[in-house]
Amino acid sequence: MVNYPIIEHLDIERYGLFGTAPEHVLKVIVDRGITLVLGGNGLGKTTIVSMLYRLLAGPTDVTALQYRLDLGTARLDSSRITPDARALFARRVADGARTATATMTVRFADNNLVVQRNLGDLRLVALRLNSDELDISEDVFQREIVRLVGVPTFGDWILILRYLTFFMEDRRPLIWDATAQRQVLRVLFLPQETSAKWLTDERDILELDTRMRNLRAVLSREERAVAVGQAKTQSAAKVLEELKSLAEQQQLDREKRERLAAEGLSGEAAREDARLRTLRAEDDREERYRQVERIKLESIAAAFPTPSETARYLLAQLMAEGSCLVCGNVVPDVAADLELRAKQGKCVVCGSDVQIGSTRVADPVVVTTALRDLEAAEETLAEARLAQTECENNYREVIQQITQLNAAIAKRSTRIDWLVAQLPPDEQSLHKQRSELSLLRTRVEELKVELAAKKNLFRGFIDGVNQTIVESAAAIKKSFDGFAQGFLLDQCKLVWSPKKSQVGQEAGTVEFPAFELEMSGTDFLSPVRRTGPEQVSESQREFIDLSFRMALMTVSGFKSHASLVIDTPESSLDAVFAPRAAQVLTRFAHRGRNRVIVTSNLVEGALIPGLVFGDKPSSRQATVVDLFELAAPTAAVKALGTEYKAIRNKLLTRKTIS
Amino acid sequence: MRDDIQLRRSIRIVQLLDAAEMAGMIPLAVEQLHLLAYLSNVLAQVWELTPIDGKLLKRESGPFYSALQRDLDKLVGAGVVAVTKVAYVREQEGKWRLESEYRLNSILAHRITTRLAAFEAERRVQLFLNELAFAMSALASDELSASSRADPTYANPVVDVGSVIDFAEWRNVNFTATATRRFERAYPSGVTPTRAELLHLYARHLHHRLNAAH
Repeated sequence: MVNYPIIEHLDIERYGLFGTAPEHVLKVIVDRGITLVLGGNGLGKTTIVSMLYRLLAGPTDVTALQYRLDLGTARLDSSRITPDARALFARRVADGARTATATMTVRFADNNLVVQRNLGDLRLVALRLNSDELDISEDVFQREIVRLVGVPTFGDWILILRYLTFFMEDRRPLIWDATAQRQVLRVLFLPQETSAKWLTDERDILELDTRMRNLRAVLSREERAVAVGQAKTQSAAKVLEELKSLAEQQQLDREKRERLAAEGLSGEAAREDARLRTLRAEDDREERYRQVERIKLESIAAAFPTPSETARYLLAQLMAEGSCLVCGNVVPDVAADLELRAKQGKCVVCGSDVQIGSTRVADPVVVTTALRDLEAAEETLAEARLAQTECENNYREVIQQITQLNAAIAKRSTRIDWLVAQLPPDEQSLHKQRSELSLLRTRVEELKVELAAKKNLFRGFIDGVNQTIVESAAAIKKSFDGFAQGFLLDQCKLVWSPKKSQVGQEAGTVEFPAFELEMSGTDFLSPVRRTGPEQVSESQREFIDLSFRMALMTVSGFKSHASLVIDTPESSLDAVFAPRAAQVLTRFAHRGRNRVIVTSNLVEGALIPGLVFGDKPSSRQATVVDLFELAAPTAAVKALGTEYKAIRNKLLTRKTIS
Repeated sequence: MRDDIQLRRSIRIVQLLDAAEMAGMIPLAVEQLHLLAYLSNVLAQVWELTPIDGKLLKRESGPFYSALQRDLDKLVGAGVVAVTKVAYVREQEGKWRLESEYRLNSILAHRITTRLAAFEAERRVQLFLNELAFAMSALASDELSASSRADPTYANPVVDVGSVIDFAEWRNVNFTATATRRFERAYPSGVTPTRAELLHLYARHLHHRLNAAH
C-alpha cells in the first residue's frame, strides 16, 4: 500500500511570472475534485506543473529518466540534477528568482508535510511535518518522503511521480513501457523488503554480467597478444597470420553472437505473439463457424418429421461450409439445393413435401452476414498461420546461427590453444602469458557459471513476485475498465501478460510482471493485443495510459486516495473525445480525497466546460486558476485581451454542455 | 505433417471416448471431452508419454481445442462418433458455442479400437486414458465441467484469459504434473503409488479444491 501525495496548497511568492509586486503571492488551493489551471501560451501553466513536481522531487532525479525514454535496466538511484536544470525557474524571470519561493502543503495519509523551496536554485527553505519543524536538509526531506510514502528508495518515489502522479509534456507511457511498468508494479505491490531485494539482486546480476563481459574482452585482447608473441618467437609469418586472423574472427563472432542473442529475444516475443494470434484466430473461426451452423440448423430443424440429430448435424455443416463431412468433397451446389428445399418446406433429403408448421427460414441477410464473418475469420486465420510460420522460421534461423557461431567459437578456441601450446619451452614470457591466458579463460567460465546460477535464483524469485502481484490483477483490471470504458467506444481491457526480458546479456531471459492492452478495432474480428502506442489512435493513446495510471493508484493507494497532475491533455483530443475525457477525469477526481490538477490552453470545445461543470451544468464543480487574471500578461494577452476574455466567459459560464 | 497431427488428434478422440465409455461417462458433453483431452495432455508426463498438444488458448469457460472439435465433426461425418443433444449457446462474451454430447458408434469404432490395440504404444496410451477417465468419473458432472478452475496449470493466475498456456510446447513448466507427482510424498516411506493411483489422487485433489472454493 502506497501513500500517494494529496496536494492541498501551492503558494508562489515573488515570482515574476505571476505578478511583479514585491510581496506578490499566487495562492492555489487545491480542493478535492478538479483544479483547472487555465492560461495561454507563456502564462506559466507548465511552470506551475514543474513547480509542483520540483517541490515533491527536489533537485533530484533518476538519471536514466532525464536522458532516455525507456527505462530498460538502468539504475534507479536518484541523483542531483545539474545546476542548469536547477535554474529552470530562474531562467524564466528577470531577477533570477533569487527571492522567489514556492510552498506546497501535501498530505500523505494522515500526515501533513509543508515544503518550501527557493525558485532560484531549488534549495529547501522550510520543511514542516505536521506541527514539527524539520532540519532543512535534502537528506531529511528524502528520508521523510520515503517513510511517508512507504517506498524503499527515493528513486522509487521519483518513479511514482513520473509514471503515476504527473502526466507531463514528455508523456511517459506506462502501459506500453514494459520496463517502467515492472518497476512501478514492484514499488506498488510488493512488500518493501521484497522490492529492495529485487533491486539488489538485479543489480548484482548486471554487475556480474558486466564483469564477465569485460573479462572476456580482456581475454580476447590477451589471445591477440599471445598470438603476436608466438609469431615473434617463431618468426613464422604464417603462424602470425593465422593466430591474428583467428583472434580477430573470434572477436567478431562473439560480437555477432551478442547481436543475434538480442535478435533471438525479439524473435521469441514475435513468435509467441504470432502463436497467440493464430490460436485466437482459430477460436474466432470456430465461433463464426458455429454461428453459421446454428442458423442453418435452425432453418432445417423443422423439416425433419422425426429428428435425427446426427443427420441434422451433418446437413447443417454441409450447408454451412459446402463441404461433405462424410466423404470430404466440396459440394456447394448440393448445399444450395438443400437450402432451397428447406426454404420451400420440402424434406432436405428426399425432396418430398412435408408439414413444416414451425420451420424458421433463416433471414438471408443474417445468413449472408454470418457467412461473410466466417469467410473473414478464415482469411484472418490463414494469415495468422502464415505469419506464425514466418516468425517460427525466422526464430529458428537465428537460433541456428547462434548454434553455428557457438560451435565455430569453440572450435577456434581449441585451435588457438593448440597453436599457443606449440610455444618453445624456453620462452619464459610466452609461457607466462600462456598460463595467464588459461587462468583468464577459467575465470571467465567460472563467472559464467556463477552468473547462470544467480540468474536462475532471480528467475525463481521473480516467478514468486509475479504470483504476488497477480493477486491484485483482477482489481486493477476492474478499475481500468471503469475508467477506460467511459472513454473508449471499443472493447478494451487489460490483460496480465508477463514479459520476457534480458537481465544482462548472458544466460537467458526472466519473465517480469506486466499488463498489456487488448482492444477491438474496425479491422479486427475480436479484441487483439496492442503492444505499442502506435497501434491505437492518438486520441485514445493518452487516455488509455491515464486510465491505467488511475487504476493502479486506485488499487494501490492508501484508502485509494491520490493526486493526478496533467499538463495540457487537450493537445491529443479531438472534439468527440473531449467530453468523454472530461468525464473520466472528473470520475477519478471525485473519488475520496482525490485531486486532479489539469492545465489547459483556452480551447473551444467540450473539455473545459466538461471539467468545470462536470455533470451539473448549473454550477461549477472545479476550482479554476485563471492565469489570464493572475499571471503577468504576455504580449498576446495585452493585445488580444478582449478576445481571450470573451472566449473565457463563454467557456466558464456555460450552462449546458454539448 | 498437418495430416499426421490431424490423424493423431482423431485417434485421441476415439481413445478418449472409448475410455469414457469404459468409465461410464458417456454420452460425454462437449466441454467434458475437451477437458479430458486437455488432462490427457497435461498429465501425459506423469505416465512418461508425450502430449499431442503442449499448449492451448486459455478461455474463461475452460479448455477447448478448435482443431480437435473440427476433427470430432469429421468423425461424426464418418459415422465413427454419434452426436446427441445438439444445441448452440451464447457465452458471456456473446460468442456462439456448440453444446452437444458424443459417444462412439460401436459398430464403426470397434474396427479402429481393435486396430489400435495391436500396437504397444497405443495400448499404453489407452491404458493411461482409461485410468484418467476412471479417476475423473469419480467427480460429479458439474465438478468435472468446472475442474479446470482447480487445475494448477489451467488456473494459474499468472496466465490470463486470452493468453497461451504453454506447458510443453516451447517451455516445460507443468504444475499439474508436478503437483500430481508430489502425491507420492503422502505415502509412507518405502511405498510407491502406481501411476494410476496418482491420477486418482489428482482427481480427489480437484474435488477438494473445487469444494474448498465454494
